[in-house]
Amino acid sequence: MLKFIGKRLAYAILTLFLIATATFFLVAGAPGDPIAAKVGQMPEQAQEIIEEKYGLDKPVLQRYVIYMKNLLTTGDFGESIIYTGKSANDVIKTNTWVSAKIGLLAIFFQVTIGVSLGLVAALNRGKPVDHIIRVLVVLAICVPSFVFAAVLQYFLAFKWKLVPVFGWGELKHYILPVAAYAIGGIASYTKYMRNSTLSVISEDYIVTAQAKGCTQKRTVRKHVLRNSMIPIVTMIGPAVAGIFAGSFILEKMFAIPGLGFYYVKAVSDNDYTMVIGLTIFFAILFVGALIVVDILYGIVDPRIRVAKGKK
Amino acid sequence: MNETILEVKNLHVSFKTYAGISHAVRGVDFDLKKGETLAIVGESGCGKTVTSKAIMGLLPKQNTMIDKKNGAQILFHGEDLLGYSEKKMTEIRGSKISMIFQDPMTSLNPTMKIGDQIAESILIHNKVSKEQAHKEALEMLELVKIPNAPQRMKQYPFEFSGGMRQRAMIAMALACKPEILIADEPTTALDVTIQAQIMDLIGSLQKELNMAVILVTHDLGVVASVADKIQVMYAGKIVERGNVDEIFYRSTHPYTRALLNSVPKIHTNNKETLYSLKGTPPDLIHPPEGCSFAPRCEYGMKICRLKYPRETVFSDSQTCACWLHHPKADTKGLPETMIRGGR
Repeated sequence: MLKFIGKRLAYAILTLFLIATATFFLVAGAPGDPIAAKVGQMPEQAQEIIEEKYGLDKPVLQRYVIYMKNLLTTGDFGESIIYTGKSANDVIKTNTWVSAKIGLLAIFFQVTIGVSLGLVAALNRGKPVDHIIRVLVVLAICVPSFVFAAVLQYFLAFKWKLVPVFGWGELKHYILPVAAYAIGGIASYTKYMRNSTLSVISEDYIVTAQAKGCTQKRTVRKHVLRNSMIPIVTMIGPAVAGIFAGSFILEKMFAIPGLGFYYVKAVSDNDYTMVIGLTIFFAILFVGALIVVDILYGIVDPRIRVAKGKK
Repeated sequence: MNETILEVKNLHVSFKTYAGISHAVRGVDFDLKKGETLAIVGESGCGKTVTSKAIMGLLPKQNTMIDKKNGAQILFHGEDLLGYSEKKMTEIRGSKISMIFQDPMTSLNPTMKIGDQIAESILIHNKVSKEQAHKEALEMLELVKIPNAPQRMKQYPFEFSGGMRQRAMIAMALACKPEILIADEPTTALDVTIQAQIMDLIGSLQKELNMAVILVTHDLGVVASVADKIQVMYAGKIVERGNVDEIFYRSTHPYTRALLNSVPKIHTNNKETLYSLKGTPPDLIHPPEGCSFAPRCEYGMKICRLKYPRETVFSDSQTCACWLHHPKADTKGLPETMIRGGR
């Protein structure tokens, strides 16, 4: 197992290096000029001074070497071109946790509620409960999260005044964005859990468990749950990584100072340092999440664990 | 040896399907004595598995109907299991009556250690500690002759071969020393050498624990060496029953004959074509009025298709439901051994 994790880490570092390199050259090669975007018309001399400050007067390869050296020795992503004095590291430091809190809470509710509803639907297959859950699931999957957000804002916040429409800082500000974020995920986890539970309960080993004298409760707890959770675990990793890149619409709607918001803005501003820095940071999160899922997967499914051990 | 522990009386089981109601078991009676081996033989879909699952109460509740009107009963030590609540049935299952299944590759939980799976049945039915249950589980694994049992306890089913898994299944089923073991095609999924080992194992454990075995199979070859009595099922009914000698050497039902003929024999010539029974079993959604084997029977008569024959009794153990044994039947051209005076 340790050997496996070590190997995965080595691959992860290689992946990150490749992503950093590719992003650097792609952004450098992209059309547009951040300095022009920042100040518009300015005397040529002034422009040269700014270019020199950011090293933009040097050839791309040399810039790349300098950037990588800084990144690897100090972990510095560099200063934002648009916001003078603010570095990409600052943005990451102050805003990551905001996005993470919303996203992780949402995923927590998605998985717990989704898995429970899926289980209930599967165990009551064909009964009214199952039909109701299935109809709701289809509805929730079809409607995008920002529509939910708007509906929730209108009813819960504007009409009934139960929670604030938007804002950040207090517990009550979490309710709407987390709910809007979670609904779609709850629906898809419910759907996957229902399907995988249905296939598990028609397995031969469930009959074996009953033949042993397991009550229905015990059969579900000891034999159904773990086996039907296997496909769910694989979905969680990408979902965690997707929190940061995918939540910018909701962050904008609820005026949450999250990372997604800055990312989108950096791309539209051609803010080189911010784009590269945030991309590398997202890549670290993504690759890290995938490693965690691989380890989790091994814990849930012994077949994977042993296969890994042998490698 | 002669105490009757299980009595099945007039069992009718039908299933609701999209096409209609399928009558899978249509009046089955038999009894089982302590320590005895009963083989239920027949081709796929004849109702043998349904009969055994009915005894265990393992048939799916949503679409199964067990007809209790005609005095259907499954008496276990004189108590009717059909009247038992689900809770009472779970106490019987795995402790008094156990079952092993056809496919050991899919019948074990893939994410649970073998030791835990065996210990589970001990934990469910006995008030013992986890350690004690694991100790007993280990003893069971040794009893079914799995080498390196202590290491094997900690392994998962995918680390076991097919034969080893079936041994583990047997260990699991016998962990609570049941009085009856129902083995539903226990060797069908295994290769021939392993088949013999598993049958020997079941046989020796049966003697050791003095339990009764119901062996459900379509393979007469497996039955010959282990069964005390055999009943042949066709289309949800028992068409002939008898002890091993009677079924193998003096069978009286054309279907039993056909089954026996389709077993390859050691002196079969290489170039000889193996006998195969033509046709397919009847549709049990619309079961025939008369004998359901009549359309495939080489001795079929007019009466066969109109009315179901009564059982003719040949000995204490052998009975047969076939019109050929009616006093008025035309027995010309029949094999001599088949015609015997009934009582």
